[in-house]
Amino acid sequence: MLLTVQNNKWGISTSYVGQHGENFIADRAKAFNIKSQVINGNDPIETYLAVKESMDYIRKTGKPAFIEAMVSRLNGHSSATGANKEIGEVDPIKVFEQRLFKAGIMTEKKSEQIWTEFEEEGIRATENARGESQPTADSIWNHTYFGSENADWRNF
Amino acid sequence: MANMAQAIRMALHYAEKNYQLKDIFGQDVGMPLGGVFTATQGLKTTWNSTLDERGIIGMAMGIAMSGDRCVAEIQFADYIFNTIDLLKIAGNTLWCTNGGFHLPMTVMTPVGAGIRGSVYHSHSFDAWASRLTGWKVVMPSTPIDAYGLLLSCILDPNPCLFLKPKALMRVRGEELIPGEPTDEKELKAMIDAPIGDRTHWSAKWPNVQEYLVPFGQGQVTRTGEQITVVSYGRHLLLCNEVADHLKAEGFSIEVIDLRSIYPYDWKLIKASVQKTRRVLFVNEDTEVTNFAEHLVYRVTQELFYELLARPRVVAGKNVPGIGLHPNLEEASVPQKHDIEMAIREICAEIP
Repeated sequence: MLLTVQNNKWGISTSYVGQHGENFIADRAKAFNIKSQVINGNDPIETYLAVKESMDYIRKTGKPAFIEAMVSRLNGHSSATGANKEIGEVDPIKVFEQRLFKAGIMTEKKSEQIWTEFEEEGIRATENARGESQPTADSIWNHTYFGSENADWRNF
Repeated sequence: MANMAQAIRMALHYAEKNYQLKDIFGQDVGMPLGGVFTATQGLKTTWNSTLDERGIIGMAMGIAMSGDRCVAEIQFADYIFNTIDLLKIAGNTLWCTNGGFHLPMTVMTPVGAGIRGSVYHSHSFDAWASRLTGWKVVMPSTPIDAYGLLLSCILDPNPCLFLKPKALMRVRGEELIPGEPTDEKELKAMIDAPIGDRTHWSAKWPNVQEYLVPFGQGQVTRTGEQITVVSYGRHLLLCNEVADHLKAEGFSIEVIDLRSIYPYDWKLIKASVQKTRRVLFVNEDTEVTNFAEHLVYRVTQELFYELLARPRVVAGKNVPGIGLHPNLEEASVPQKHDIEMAIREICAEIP
């Protein structure tokens, strides 16, 4: 089992620093002698390598591992700040994009094409969802029990 | 007029000042947010807890056992379920210690649907709460009752559960809280935190006065002769609206705001049902083993031969949660037309 924590250092309006005595949540795993590490979750390469290494360890030893990924808080929580974009947070996709440009793996043209492609996919998915039929009042009883067996006592 | 969030804030301020209330806590209860419904903004003794409901209730019990009053919040009643064993222990501690330890603690939690809160922000807790023996349980429908009931909870030596109908947090009442400024803009300027940076803001509290709504005391909100409708919280206001609407057709409907779920005002219900001889109970918790079923049981036991029609319960459907889509929410919890239909049916019934 791989245990993961994505730590963006906030719970609605409450800061991580004000609530945690330990330096890292990953330190808690040490109490159970579970292999643990803290990674930069905003970095996809670091994340991939850490998850791969941990999964290899888990498969080899049969023991659990723990990863705490430090990540950005890109948007606020609805009831506190609205879902507005947070200012001053690292956007991991934009940072990674720049890194790929510098390494010569990605061109601006190719990147633009990917952004457009996924933007269009998002729009299509939204339209699709909006076009789906509305749930009916009767469907509230569905899946209360396996196979949508009668849940309404009026029908017993 | 204050809205319910402001009324709760003013009650907490009054209790900080006059009832030695030293701890008001829960998730996001302290600054900068002051609660997800802003009901704890600007207070002196608020603090933010961890995301740990069992920790919150355990802390409240500890503070109470050491003899201090406290108000703890569970951010949404949907998350109170993982504290159920602690709620049981808080309720039985006095009994288990042969009267040795009483717990002067108040837990407040927003309940019910009506804000499209879907599966994690719509649950009711009144029926569940009515089975927590040792707790007093209240649910206001107006800001002034929220003020008066919360002060009663804080003063009470027992654990008290203050259920906040979340859909009413921004609804204003018709009655001023004693000491509240008459101009609602003035009140807002005094006690509502500004949007944005709040680091230099502090509330200017009006000189509010003690006002207590005693436990077990309901209130007649509409007088009538033909049928008694008993409710509380959000649905009480819906019952009032239906009563007013049907009045035009000649219906004479008595509406009772129970306010206090346990203990409850049996004398008021009994006197009213003896007059009208027809009764409907309305709430939005799920219908099977609903608290209203206890009230119906008592009506049938004590008033059976005086009734002209079968007593009824209109409550939430026996489903595991409330769906997000309006069609789902509206089919899951009672709507005005459900209440109206039940009233029409009961009144049409001839023994």
